Amino acid sequence: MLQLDGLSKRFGDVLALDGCTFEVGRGEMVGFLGPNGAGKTTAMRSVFGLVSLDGGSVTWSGAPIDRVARLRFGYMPEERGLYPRMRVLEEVAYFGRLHGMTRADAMSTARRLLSGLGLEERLRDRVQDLSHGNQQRVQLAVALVHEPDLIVLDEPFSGLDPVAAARLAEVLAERAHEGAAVLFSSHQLDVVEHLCEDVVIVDRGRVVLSGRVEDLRAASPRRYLEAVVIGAGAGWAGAVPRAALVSHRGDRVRLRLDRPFDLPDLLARARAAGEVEEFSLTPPDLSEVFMEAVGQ
Amino acid sequence: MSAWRTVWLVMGRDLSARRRAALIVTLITLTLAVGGIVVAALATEGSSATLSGEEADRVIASMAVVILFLSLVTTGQVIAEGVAEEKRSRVVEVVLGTVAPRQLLVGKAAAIGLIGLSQVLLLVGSVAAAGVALDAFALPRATTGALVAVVGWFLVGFVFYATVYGAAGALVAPHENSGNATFPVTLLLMVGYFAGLSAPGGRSLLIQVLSLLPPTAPLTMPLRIAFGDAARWEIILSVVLTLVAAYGMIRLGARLYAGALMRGGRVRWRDAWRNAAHLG
Repeated sequence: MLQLDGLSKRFGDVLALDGCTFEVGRGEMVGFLGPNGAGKTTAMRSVFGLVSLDGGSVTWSGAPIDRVARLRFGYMPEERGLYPRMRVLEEVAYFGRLHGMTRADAMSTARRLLSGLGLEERLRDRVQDLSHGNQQRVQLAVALVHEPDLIVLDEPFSGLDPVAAARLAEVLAERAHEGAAVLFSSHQLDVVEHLCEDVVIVDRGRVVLSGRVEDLRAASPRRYLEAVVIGAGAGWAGAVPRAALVSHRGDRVRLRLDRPFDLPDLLARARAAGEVEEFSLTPPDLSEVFMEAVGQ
Repeated sequence: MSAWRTVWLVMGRDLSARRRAALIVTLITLTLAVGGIVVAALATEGSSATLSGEEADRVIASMAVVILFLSLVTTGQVIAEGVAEEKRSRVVEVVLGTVAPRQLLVGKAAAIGLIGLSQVLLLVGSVAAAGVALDAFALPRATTGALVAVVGWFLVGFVFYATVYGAAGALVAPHENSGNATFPVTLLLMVGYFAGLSAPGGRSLLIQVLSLLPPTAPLTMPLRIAFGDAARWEIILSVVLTLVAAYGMIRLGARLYAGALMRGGRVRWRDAWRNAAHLG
């Protein structure tokens, strides 16, 4: 289990981490969310000793992290980087060997992994000759080649097309299923909601919300009403007490309701406006939970 | 996995990444050396004049200083550029996720030092071969010692300067030429170089002092050796002093390197030193 406990780090006037605390267990896939500048990258770097923390500790299986432990970690930094003139297969195998694999083992695993990522035709090409998206796949292979016990990926989905993103999601789910702890940051909350059971939301260097996505959604005091009243537009929803119109399109409206809300009254208003085709109450989705958590 | 295996892997990658450049430089060096020998042979043809002992010493001494200066500066620059490249391509963050800064620096320096050493051996070999072929030098005198001294002092000087060149490369901002950052280091080498070249007969108090001081010893002590002017104890003392100082320089270079590597933009020497306080 990866534990970040009370991390703090100041860069000049900026407090990047301010008592950041959370954990990622083996077999868990945790989405790491937060607005830009919330401290996600700094927290992830701290796992690899790339940041000198002002306070707090990072541990793996209860012990401080050293180089030996890091051999079993995989990392994809926010700022991607590869040796541009190395050939794809050699590059991935090199990083495998740096993580303790034998040459033969690294080569065969790299070949298998790259083929699985759709790069079997490009193994002998130089990395710099690949498209941005394909370089990103190589970067991912570099993070995964040694079959790490802990996988930390900073914005792995940014810059990927939907097909590649789906493949990445599959690979990560596989690794988590095999017992790896997976932590990744993302701004694509729909992807996170689809992929992760657990999320950690940080804002200004502190964890403001963490736990199972389902629990967080259910625990929110707010509910959202999705309704379609044929021919009524959004007018009927305008004057409802303790409700705010979030969005509307044609006859479809989405209302945010604060407790206590009067559902029968709402339904009556809708019926009065026209034929009700859809009327459903849901907890907030992850992006709404996120907005609430970071106070926007 | 041992730290040495990591260094070995880094070294292997750096060697392999430079094999083409190394081959080209080798071919150029060989061509120049053979060309030089042929020209010298043609120029001295017919004349029975071989160089007098003093003249031969001067030629050998100047050659030693020039070869040492050029090879130390170029290997240093290649190290700095290699470091700057890793920073520019941002691969360094991935590498540092598993490799200690010191291992990365030592592996890279060793690879490039090996290439530099082979170039020096090639040059020295060419000079020796020319000397034998043309019978131009009074070989039994100080020449053999001078040639051995060039190789030895390249190694000593390399150990002294390599990591500091590496640290200079780590200070470089993206899109910046690594030459700017390495200039202060090169300046140190230039002191020894110009002092060495301008010393008449290599026998001045200044040269005597400089040949004992670590930063200038690698360029001035070989000069004195070529003139047969250095006492054994002086040679031993300057080697020992330089190696002891080199140990300090390696520590210093590694610390500055680690402190600067993960910083964006141009890093100042002072900030690099401070940043690395936690790395020890």
